[in-house]
Amino acid sequence: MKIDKTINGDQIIINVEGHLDTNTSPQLETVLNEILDGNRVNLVIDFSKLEYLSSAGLRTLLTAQKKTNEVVGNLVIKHVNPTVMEVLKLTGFSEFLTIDND
Amino acid sequence: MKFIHLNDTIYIHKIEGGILLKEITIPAEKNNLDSLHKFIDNELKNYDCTKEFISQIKIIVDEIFSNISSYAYTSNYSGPKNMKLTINHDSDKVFLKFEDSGVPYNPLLSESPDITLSIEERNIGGLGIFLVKNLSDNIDYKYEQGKNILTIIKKISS
Repeated sequence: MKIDKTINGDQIIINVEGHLDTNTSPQLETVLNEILDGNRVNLVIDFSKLEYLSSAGLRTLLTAQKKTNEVVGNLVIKHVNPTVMEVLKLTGFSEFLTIDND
Repeated sequence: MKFIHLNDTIYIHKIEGGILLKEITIPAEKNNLDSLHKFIDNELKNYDCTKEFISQIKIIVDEIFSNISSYAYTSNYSGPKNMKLTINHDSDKVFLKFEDSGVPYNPLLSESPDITLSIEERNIGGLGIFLVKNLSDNIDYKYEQGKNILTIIKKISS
């Protein structure tokens, strides 16, 4: 898995490439925690190069969304492929995540 | 029967009842997940299935292997702490068989998460098996001769 961080004004864009599984999700969690523990909370996670995610990836997203809510921040997940979308819908995560597929 | 050794991983190709079975036996340690991914890529690339289908198979394998590597073997288990995955297929289905010699554990008995709860009330427990159940067409568990045997059938979508 590859994680790229781009800063665009007050917005941070995280690009995730590959898959979010038991082994790789902690890497994303570390990156997100560093951001969410700071002042910057205008966050975009770009999944256009994400192949799939398992429950470990869901755990990471749940934690990130909870932290974002605590600091009244903004977290948008972009470019979700059909496999990832199905997992988010099946588990009800699509109800509380902000997903922008345009 | 053909044996292929790659590091500490053993691949076996054998014919049973006219069906070609592909097996991989690996130590049940989380960092071996990549070996399973390679094995699956290698097997499924010849099937007429979509990349979404392959991703769903990988999610299933991730979840089951993650459970086995986390919980199957206690620290005082003295034998090899392995997991065996067998894969085969017919014209419209893929069959996955997971075997380990750890403590008896039927994942089908795990409670399904309440997916209607709000984010504040949500926790992550049970989501892995919940996903496996939803992405599979049939799951069967049995404990036989000291082994957990989980068989999963998934219809090929193309």
